[in-house]
Amino acid sequence: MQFRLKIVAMVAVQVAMIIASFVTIVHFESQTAMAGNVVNVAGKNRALTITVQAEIHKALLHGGDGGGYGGVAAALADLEDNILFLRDGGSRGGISIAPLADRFEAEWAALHGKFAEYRDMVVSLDPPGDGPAGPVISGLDETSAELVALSDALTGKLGRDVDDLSTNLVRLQTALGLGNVALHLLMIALILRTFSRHADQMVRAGRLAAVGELASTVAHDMKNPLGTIANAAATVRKNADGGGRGSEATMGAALDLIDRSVMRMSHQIDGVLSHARAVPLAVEAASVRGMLAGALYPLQVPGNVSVSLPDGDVSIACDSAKMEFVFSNILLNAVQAMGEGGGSIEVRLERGGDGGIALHFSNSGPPIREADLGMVFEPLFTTKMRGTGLGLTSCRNIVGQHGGSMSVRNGPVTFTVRLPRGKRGGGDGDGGDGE
Amino acid sequence: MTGSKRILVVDDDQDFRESIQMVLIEEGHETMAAADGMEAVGVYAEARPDLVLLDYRMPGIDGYETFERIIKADPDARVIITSAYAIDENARRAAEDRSLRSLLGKPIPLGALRDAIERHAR
Repeated sequence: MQFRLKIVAMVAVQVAMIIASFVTIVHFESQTAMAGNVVNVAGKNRALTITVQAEIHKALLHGGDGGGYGGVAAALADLEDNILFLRDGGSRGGISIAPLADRFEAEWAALHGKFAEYRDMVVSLDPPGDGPAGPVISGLDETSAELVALSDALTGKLGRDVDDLSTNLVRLQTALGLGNVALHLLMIALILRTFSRHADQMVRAGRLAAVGELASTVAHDMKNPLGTIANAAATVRKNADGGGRGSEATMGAALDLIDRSVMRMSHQIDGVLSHARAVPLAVEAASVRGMLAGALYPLQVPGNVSVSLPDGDVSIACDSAKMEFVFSNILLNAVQAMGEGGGSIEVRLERGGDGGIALHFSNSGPPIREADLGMVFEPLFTTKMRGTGLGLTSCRNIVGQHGGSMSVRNGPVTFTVRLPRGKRGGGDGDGGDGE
Repeated sequence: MTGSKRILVVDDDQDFRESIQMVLIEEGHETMAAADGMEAVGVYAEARPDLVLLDYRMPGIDGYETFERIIKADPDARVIITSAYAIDENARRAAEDRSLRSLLGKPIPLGALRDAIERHAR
């Protein structure tokens, strides 16, 4: 639960940062856009001043009787309106601007002052008499030129302000982008570290559970042979004390049970040890048939199960005790897989061209489920009532120690042990292949 | 010392089955055996033994299911379940409430076996 909260909190921080960055950028972009509008409005003063001048010249050209001075008054009103809009801000004709910042007050005041002077000069023309004298026109042109110059100065300053805003916006976008990437990487690192710690905990818990399960299974599997030994020992003791009724055959059978149970427990312990650590191999020349016979001895092969061993034999260099453990495990699995109905087990010996050998252990039992085929060599995997789930894993480890490999297939169920040429021991027995 | 009893030993472990039969024979009892629950139900119906020593964990139907089937066929059946697993007192009492005579952990000490036969066999 705590792990989930941590991850959710980290993702929430990341999302909050992305949203904050987005809002900040939108805000600054809006500010920049509005400042751009101010430049446009300021720039419009030049056009409006020129328009006023054009209207004046047009009125003079056509004379006061043409109604041309109305156009001058309207153009002048537009110009004044635009100058005031520039200062006060607001929305007009689909354009929104903020009130002019204080730092532009001086330039605007100069502009407005010049406009007032210009307006007074224009108004003095109206109503016209016989037409303005040349010097008056000349003064108007001069004043309008000064008005345009002041307007351009303000527009230029406003434009530089927009450039600064745009530059700052780019810087902000870059900084926020880099910041977000850095935060994103930090979050990924934190999340991975949290995952890693959580995974470690899970692995530790899983290992503990597996060890517990293994200990339970091993303890359970030991108790049957221990019980058998206890029972057989009780029988032997009673007869040894002279109080029993058993024959020599019974005594022999009891001792056999003790012997076999000890072997069973030894095999079970070997299985755990082989899995827990790689014991160095004690390599010597050993007969394959001899090892197969040794592997069969401790098994309880029911009467309705036939075991066919290869006719031929071959001597290979290996750790015979470990290899007997491997063969014994495969044979025991085959017996158990066939169940009460019994069946047959066939062991075939095949020599490879490279001098290695392959032993195929086939049985007539039911096929292994396809989903389980790839799992049978995995630690703690078992489909049996009694089993540590380490048998075939240990087998594969032992065969691997010898430089060989193990595989399994269905149709019929066949486990194959392949061993490389290695350092061959003595002769090849009778030389048969047992095929 | 109790008299000779007819005892059915049910266990899928052949060695354990044979060894406990040896002990029982040495103790003067007659034995019969079954390797799984289904076989045990059949042998019980045919032989009506005085006591059943029934392994808990077996392939097919387990010890408890086998016990239920035997007790259904013969409410007076005397059944003791044996198990390699640790048996706690609560489980023992709960089992006894269900007409199960006793639970014995493996390996079964000879004294406990004798006592169980004396107390529970017909």
